[in-house]
Amino acid sequence: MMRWIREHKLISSLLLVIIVTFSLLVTSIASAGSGNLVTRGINSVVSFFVKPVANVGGTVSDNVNGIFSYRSIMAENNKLKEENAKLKKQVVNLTLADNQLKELQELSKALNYTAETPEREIVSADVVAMSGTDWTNIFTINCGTEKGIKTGDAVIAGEGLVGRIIDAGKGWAKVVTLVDQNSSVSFKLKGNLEMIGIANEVEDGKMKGFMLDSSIKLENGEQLITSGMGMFPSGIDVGTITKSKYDKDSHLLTVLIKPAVDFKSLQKVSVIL
Amino acid sequence: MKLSKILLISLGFFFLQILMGKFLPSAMPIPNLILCFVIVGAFVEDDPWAWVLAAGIFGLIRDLFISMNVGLGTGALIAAVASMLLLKKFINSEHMLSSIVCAIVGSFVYIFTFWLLSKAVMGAYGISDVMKFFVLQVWMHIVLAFGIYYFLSRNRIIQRRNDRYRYYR
Repeated sequence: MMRWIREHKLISSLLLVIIVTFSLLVTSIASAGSGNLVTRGINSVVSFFVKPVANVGGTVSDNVNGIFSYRSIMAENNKLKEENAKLKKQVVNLTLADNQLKELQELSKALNYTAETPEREIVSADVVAMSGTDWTNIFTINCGTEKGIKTGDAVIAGEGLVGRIIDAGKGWAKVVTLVDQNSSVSFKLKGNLEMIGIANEVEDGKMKGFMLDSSIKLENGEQLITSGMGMFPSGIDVGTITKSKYDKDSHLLTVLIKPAVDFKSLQKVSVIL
Repeated sequence: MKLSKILLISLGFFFLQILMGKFLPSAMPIPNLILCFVIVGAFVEDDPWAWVLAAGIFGLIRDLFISMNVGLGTGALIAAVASMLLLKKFINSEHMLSSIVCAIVGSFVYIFTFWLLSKAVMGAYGISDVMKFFVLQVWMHIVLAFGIYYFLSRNRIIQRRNDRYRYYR
């Protein structure tokens, strides 16, 4: 047998790769997408080489895009200046509220009061690689367990909820987005916080779900936020309703939701620890 | 082509794949460079095992780094390369236009195998989403396969001797 292996090195190597792949597939299925020590170690090594390449690509892409999108950047700059001026006015009011907050914190400390929802830390990360070669919606970021990121953490972007962490290691983490068929999210209406629904399917890049109360009337354009039930913290923008229809077969009010985030052009995300 | 050269070029394509995600418009799918390289290589070259091995190794690395379940992309890539070995028996591998057939068949086998395996493992994805993705991506693979075929076939050309009068002096 050893002689056969020596004489057929390529085929032996291929058989080895197939056996390793099959065993990793079995462990991957058993752990529902989370990796083991071997896969995380390999990913850490690959991530070490991929990160500089992704950084270079990101820098070049930003500079090139900056040259070609000069007008839109100028318009966005003017809009941000106006927003900044408004925020500066708000800061003055918040300073007064900050003093009141400090008094409240001192009072709660004196009374030994523990808040139900502790403050969460946020870690920023860059998108390093996307699964753009197939229809799954998974990407890899350049931060991992060294920053405290773990499986199940929520991932957000400036516009809203992106998805959740499915696997993390040193220097990397994999994120599955809301528009992947394996994702689901519980939401409520921003205008009526008692109305709760669940989005558990994807159709043409939009999320599809249903409302728990089928008798309510919905309007297109209504904004949705996370309900806090499940793995995502409450109050994060999910998207807007584009279509709602009562399904006679399932007796449910189904909704089609346009996500708040543009998943294809994600470059930077934040992870809520 | 030697195995070391195949692995080196595949590694380059792996990094190029990552860069492409940064440069291509957000609405476009990203072409699978490693898929195009290994299917055209297996189609053009006589010894296919090195190409199958490269497909297995880089499919595994890609699965580990980006996919949810390891092994789906690897299996699909190996199946696509294996389909090229079958295709060679039916069409002429020395004609450049055969690379178009190679790209279409290889892409279809890859996507269909990937979908079958993911359906068996996760049971989530519908065939209509898969086929829409295939239609958007295959034309990029055709262009790539054409270019890769051109460069790989140049290695196989036996250069005409220009010194034929040398022995008649």
